[in-house]
Order: sequence, then C-alpha cells, then structure tokens
Amino acid sequence: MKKTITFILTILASVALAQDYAFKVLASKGNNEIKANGAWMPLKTGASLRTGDELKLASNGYIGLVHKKGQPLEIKTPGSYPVVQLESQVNSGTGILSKYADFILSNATPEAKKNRLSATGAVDRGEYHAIKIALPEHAGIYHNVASVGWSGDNIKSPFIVTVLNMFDEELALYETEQTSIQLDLNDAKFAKENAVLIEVKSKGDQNQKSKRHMIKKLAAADQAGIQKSLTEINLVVQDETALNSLILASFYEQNKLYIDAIGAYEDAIRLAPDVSAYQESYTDFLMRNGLR
Amino acid sequence: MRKFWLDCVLATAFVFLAFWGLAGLTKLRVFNAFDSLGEALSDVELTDYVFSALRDDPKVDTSIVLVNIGMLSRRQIAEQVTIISKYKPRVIGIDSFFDCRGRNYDTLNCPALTDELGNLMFGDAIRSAGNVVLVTKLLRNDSTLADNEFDTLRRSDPIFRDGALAEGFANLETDAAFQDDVKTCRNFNPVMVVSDSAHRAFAVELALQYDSAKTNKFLRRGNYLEVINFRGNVFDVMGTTNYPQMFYTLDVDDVYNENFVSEMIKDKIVIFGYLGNFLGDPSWADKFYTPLNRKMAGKANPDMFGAVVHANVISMILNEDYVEQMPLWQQVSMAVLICLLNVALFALINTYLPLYYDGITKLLQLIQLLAYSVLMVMIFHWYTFKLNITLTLAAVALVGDVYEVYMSVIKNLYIKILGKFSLTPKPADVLMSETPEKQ
Repeated sequence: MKKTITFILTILASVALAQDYAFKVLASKGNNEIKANGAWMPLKTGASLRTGDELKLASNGYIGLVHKKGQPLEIKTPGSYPVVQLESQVNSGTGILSKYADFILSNATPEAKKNRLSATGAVDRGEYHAIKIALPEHAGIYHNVASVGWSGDNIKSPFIVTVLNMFDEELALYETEQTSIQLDLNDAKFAKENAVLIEVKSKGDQNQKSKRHMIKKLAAADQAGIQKSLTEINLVVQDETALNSLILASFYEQNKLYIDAIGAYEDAIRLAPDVSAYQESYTDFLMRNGLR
Repeated sequence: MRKFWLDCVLATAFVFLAFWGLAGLTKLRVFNAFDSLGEALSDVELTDYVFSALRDDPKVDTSIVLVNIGMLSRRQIAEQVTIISKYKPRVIGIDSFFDCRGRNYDTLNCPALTDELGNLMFGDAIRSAGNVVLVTKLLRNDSTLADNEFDTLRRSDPIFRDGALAEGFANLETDAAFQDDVKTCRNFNPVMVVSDSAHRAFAVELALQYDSAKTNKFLRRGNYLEVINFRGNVFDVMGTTNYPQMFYTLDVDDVYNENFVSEMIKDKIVIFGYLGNFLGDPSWADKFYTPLNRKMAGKANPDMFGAVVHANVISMILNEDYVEQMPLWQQVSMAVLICLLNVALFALINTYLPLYYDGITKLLQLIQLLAYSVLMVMIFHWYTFKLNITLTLAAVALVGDVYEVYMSVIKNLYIKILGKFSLTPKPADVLMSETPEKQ
C-alpha cells in the first residue's frame, strides 16, 4: 500500500514538475540570457522558462518561445523581459469572425507611407578586420594550452591581447611584440570559465584589431572520450617525432580540436624544420579549415 | 412555371457561355502585355487568405526540430549528425543531396570527392545513427512520358544511402520549371510511382518512421494530391508570414556548441536542411511561396525554406489535420445551382420591380460575394474543408449584367429570327363569319 501511494505521488510530482514552466525556447539567436534563481546564464534552445525568471534579448538577437498552452511568442526588441510579463502577452486567440472583420478593415486602410528611398542598390560586406587570428571563430580545446597566432597586412606591433569571458568582462590583458601568444587556460584567471573570447589589437593603431574568437574547454564527458582515444593512439605514437605529431594533428582535426591540431603541427615543424612536407600539411590544414 | 424555369436555365447557360468566352479570350493572351492584374492574381487562390490570416491560430508542434546546415561541408554535416544522434532522436531526415549531380565521378568534376576522409566520416555518421532518411528526386528521362510520370530517381551516392534507414522523394508540387524558378507550394504528392515501384515522399517517410499508425491512416486516403495544412514557419524575422516560429530550430553554431537541452531532441523528428547561411539570412535559395505569405499577389518575397515545408507536411500527418477539398464536379455544380437561383430571382425582380432592377441586383451580388467568402472561411474553420468558390463567385459577379444582355439582346433577337422565318404563330386571322340573315 505504502509503495503504491509513493509511486502515485512520484508520478503526480513529476507531472506537476513537467508542467511547471511557462515557456520553452523554440529558437534563440545572439548572446541571450536567462536569469533563474538570481543568476544570469546563457540561454539554450529548448530551455524551460518559469514564471519568476527573466529573459534578456541581446542586440541583433531573436528569441522564439512557445507557451505551455502551445501559442508561440516572438521577442525581437533587445531588452529584459520578466517571464510574467511575457505570459500576459500570449494571445488567447480571437474568434474567426472578428479576425475576418479585422482583415477586411486592415486592408481598407491605406498602408503607412513608406520611405521611397529606404533601399539602396549596394550590399554590405563583413566588417573589415586588419588582424586575422589563425583560429576558427569557435574552437574547442583539449589540452587547455592554446597557441594563438595572428597575421595581417601592414599590422603594427606591439599588440594587445585581451581575454574576456562570455559576459564581455575582461579576464586578462597581455602585451607582446610577437604575432603569437601562449594562453594557459588552467591559469587561475580562466579556471572558472568554460569558454573565453580572445581579441587582438594593435597598441599603436586602434583601428587595427581582430574579430573576437571563442575558445571553449571541452565538457568532462567529451574530455574523457578524447582521453580514451588518445591513450589508444599513444600506444602507437609513443615517441615525440615529427611524424607522430602529424598523426596527432590529424586526430585533433578530426575531433574538431583545431587549437590542439595547430599545436601538433607546430611541434611537427619544430621537430623537422627541414622537411617542407610538414609545413605544406600545416598550410593545407589552415586553408582547409578557413584559418588562412 | 415550366416556361419560367426553362427561361432561367437558358439564361444560366448563357452566363456560363459568356464566362467561357471571357476565359477563352484571356487564354489568347491578347491583352497579357497589359494584364498586370491578371499576372499578379494568376498565382492566388482565395483559400490563401484563410491560411494566411483567417483561421484559428495553430499551436506550435514540438515534435519536430529543424537544424540548419547552412553551407557546411559533408564532413561538417557528419559532425552535426553525430552530435544530434547522441541525444537519441526518433528519426533524422537530411534534406540535401550528396552526389555528383550527374557529372563525372572524379575530383575535377565533383570537388566534394576531394575530401575522402570527410565523405567516409559522413557515411559512417549516417550508418552509426541508424535512423537517417535521405532525399531522392523524381526525374523523367523519357520525354514522351506525361507530366505526372517519372522513370528515374536522383539519389545520394551509395556510401551515404547504403547506411540510411530509408529514402523519400523531396519533389514538391509547384509551377516551377526548374529548381531556382519561382515556386509556389500548396500541395504535395504522398506517393508516386517510378518504373512500377511506389515511392513515398520524404515527409511521409519521416512521419512513417515516427508514427506508422497515423501515417498509414493518412496514406489510406489514397489521394494523388494532398493540400498542405500549413502550420507555420521558422525564424521568419522578415515577417513574411503570420506564423513566424512554429517548430524548434537550431542554427549551425547551436549544434556545434550544443547550445540546446537534450529533451528537445530525444524521441523527436530532426530535419537537417538549408535555412539560410545563418538563421535570419534573407536568402532566396530553396525558398518557396506558400499560402502563409502575407502578401497574396504581386511581387513578394518567398517565405519558407523547403525543409520547413516538409516539416509542415509531417505536422499535418501527425496531427491528423488533413484538408479536404471540393472536387471539380462539385465546384461546377455549386456554381450552376447558385447561378440558376440568382437568375430566377433576378427574373422575378425584373418582372415585379423593374424600376429597381439595377440597384437591387447589384446589392444582392455584393451581399452574396461577401457571404460566400465568409462561408468559405467558416467551413474551413469548422471542417478543414477547402471550399473552392472561385467559379461560384465568378458566376455571381457576371449574372446581373449577363442576364440583362440575355433578356434585352439574345431573347429579343431569338424572337425576331423566329418571326422572320414565320416559325412563330401569328395572331389568328379574324374570321369574317357570315352573319346569318335576319329572317
């Protein structure tokens, strides 16, 4: 009897919990956030929003929501929105005849006067960045030590390398005369962050700067998976040779760990500087992945 | 009474003759150069208004997830498939071809073959997932075949399709002459025969893998063509439709960064397809005009990517939200009956209220046009039945004036012609009877 009651209560509780949301996120674009239990965190598609939560739409962002009753709701204007406010905006639907009347009347009124010169015959192209970082815009990392290099036309040293978190807060600032830097993500400054953003600027010319690139630490489960595969590979590639580094580079590339792959290629070139094949492979790798 | 109804039938026949004559004139395309209105309206159906703005707002369908493949390579799509597959979707559909488009199978003519490792990875990802449905395309090599007959299928390369669970044709019913032509999609074919073998549509195949009972119930309808009961769009930031976000949607980066919750994918239908280079991209590639478009006629932006059209078909099947439509004979019968009743009414008005004929008949026509359009909307709302009243509305619009032409010109001409050939009985000669003499 006790077991039956417990079972029924558990089912009821899970049903109650399952319904204990106001909205779910259908689609999200931009650095949107949700405040739940007092803390802001990045918004994920499919996440549940509860009545006490708050939503923040970033500029140029978009959020599509579905109410628990199935009605959709879009948010396109940047700003913060308490979920309770969003609930009041959900349309409970109008009758068909009133929709028909609205439809007839809306077509009877003239369209708002449009600006006849609002369209141009030109296109926009991507914002110009004088400095190009040799990393994908979003890259995962296994070893947590990133070798970040950059290049550009007529760029002037010294360079300022800024490391930020996902909320645009500065974590570290480095100055260097070189066109590369080693970042240790195990450093205390970055230890709490799952992902960091890197930006490179010329100290002398503020107009010379790079796009922001994200480096993301692998989740624990993925780390374990990579570790397991690496253990198997290391049985074969025990010695530190240029060829073994190339094999490792290929493994990292397959697993989309481009930063580790760059490190492995650089090791291969360092170990066999006279062998042009490694440099060519590295160049092919950079071109293949749009890093050059 | 008999004469009255005979007259009404003849007048009705004349209305349809006039209608046929006008329709024939438009087919001569003599005025096409100046017929911008006709051009704009040629692609409009009245029920488009219903889909766009005059029905109960449909609910979001959370059983389908759309994933944008953007301009990813096969290797990169393989990674997407691997990531999504981890979260155990019920079935995965990939709305893209992976072949050499009929060109020579070498790296010169088919650059995608260069990335051998990437192709292997993709083939492996499909095989490992175990629940991937790929697309095919119905083709016609024999040009003597009719428009609705096909003899070949375009398929992805064996390295990919051999590991797939199933395939379904992605062709959608439009007036497009080629892939990048203007495409308006309202209907689709659930099943087509290719060289004596039946093939299901891509959306039907996905629905079948998800819920075979509901899909088989749908297929038992046995219709060659089905109207798509569109639910809505995804990421319609341009506002081309009234239902801009009706399915879960993930952009390219969302998948790589796993910026979603696992429950969103588990046991769902996941469709990988092109939704722009990024979500919100105003690209026209693989984009269709649908009845959901806010702009009914004239120059408008296409509103829905092909993958989303497939999602709408699946949603219709799984929600058993089919649209019935009026067969042609019912459309004609309704138009004839309404026209006949109007002619009878107008004849009575002409007889008893001749002074008010013009005013009353015009008023009646306007009221009827409004009433039938309301009826069309309400019947769709109550019964999801597409009441095609175009012929009826045309008949009602023409009946007033054409009936006047019939009465004043045709009928009088008829009587005159008959009179000329002495076919009409003349008034009887007055017989001068011999008056009996008074005796």
